[in-house]
Amino acid sequence: MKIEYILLIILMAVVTYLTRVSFLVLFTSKNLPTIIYRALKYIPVAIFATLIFPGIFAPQGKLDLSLTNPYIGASFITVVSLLIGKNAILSIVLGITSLVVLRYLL
Amino acid sequence: MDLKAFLLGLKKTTPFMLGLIPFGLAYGIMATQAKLSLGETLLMSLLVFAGSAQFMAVGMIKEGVGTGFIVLSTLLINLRHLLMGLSLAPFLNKLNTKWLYLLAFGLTDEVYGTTIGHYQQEGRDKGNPYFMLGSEVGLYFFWLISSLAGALLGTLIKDPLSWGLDFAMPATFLSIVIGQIKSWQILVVFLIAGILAIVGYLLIPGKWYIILATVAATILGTILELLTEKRSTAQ
Repeated sequence: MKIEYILLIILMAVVTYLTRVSFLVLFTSKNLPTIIYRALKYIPVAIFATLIFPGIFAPQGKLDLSLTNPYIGASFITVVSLLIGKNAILSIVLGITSLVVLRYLL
Repeated sequence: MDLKAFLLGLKKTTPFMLGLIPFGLAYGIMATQAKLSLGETLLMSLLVFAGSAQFMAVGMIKEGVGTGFIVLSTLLINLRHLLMGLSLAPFLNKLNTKWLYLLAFGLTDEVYGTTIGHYQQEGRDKGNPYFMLGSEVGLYFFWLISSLAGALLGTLIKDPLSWGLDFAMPATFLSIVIGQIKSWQILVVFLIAGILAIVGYLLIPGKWYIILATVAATILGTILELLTEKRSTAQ
């Protein structure tokens, strides 16, 4: 192993850990203003949206809202299945399968 | 040790663990192409445990980018975890700080998604650390194994990201988020964050779009909630 790569990996590990630990430790056991707790409620949904949307609507790093974008169809099928069936695993498998099929068809 | 909660966390993370496989393989392949040794490739997965940062780093190593710049980019790409830590904090109030230092190591997007979804059902101060630990252990194991497989098999595997398993991650996030949209304000926050994320993703370099879109949409949701309340008390 090269010493410069080991150093790089250790430094990467340190900064990654710092981003994960700092707010978690800083904001536990503290009574934050009520308004913050209200706002915190919206963070998960907002983060999920930022993790989901670009990959679906801009899969190759470019906006693709066309019907030939298989991710849009697969997401639609996943969401409909989730709303009807309420079964997460089944919907995820259905979504992956429909992506493979749509990729083949489109 | 609360084995039941640990196993539940592990179980709930299963779709993410499977969805991680093609990304781990792709990372292993890319790292080998960047001339990292098997030991270095594994060491990075073992110590850093951050998919997108590792992808970026091996890409930069291949281009000959210097250590300082790679570390700075790693910091920037991972700043989104600040918001995840903040968001988890109210559920872990009653825990010993040692737990927080341990759990923070594995606070990836996938662990956050699984854990926050579960903790919100349990309520504030009631987050079970063993649930999050189970989620982290499962994901970590799969990340290490698939990185190793990618590095060993290398180019024998043809484009693992085109199998369809790459959709496991967004599909799992969708399955978590659908159950959380319980008011019109939350739906608005979800859609606005998504649209802002796409715009930011296309226009702003790096992962800043995650933080900017999340903060903007969260503020909007809070304002909407306050306005709705004001109107209902005025009536």
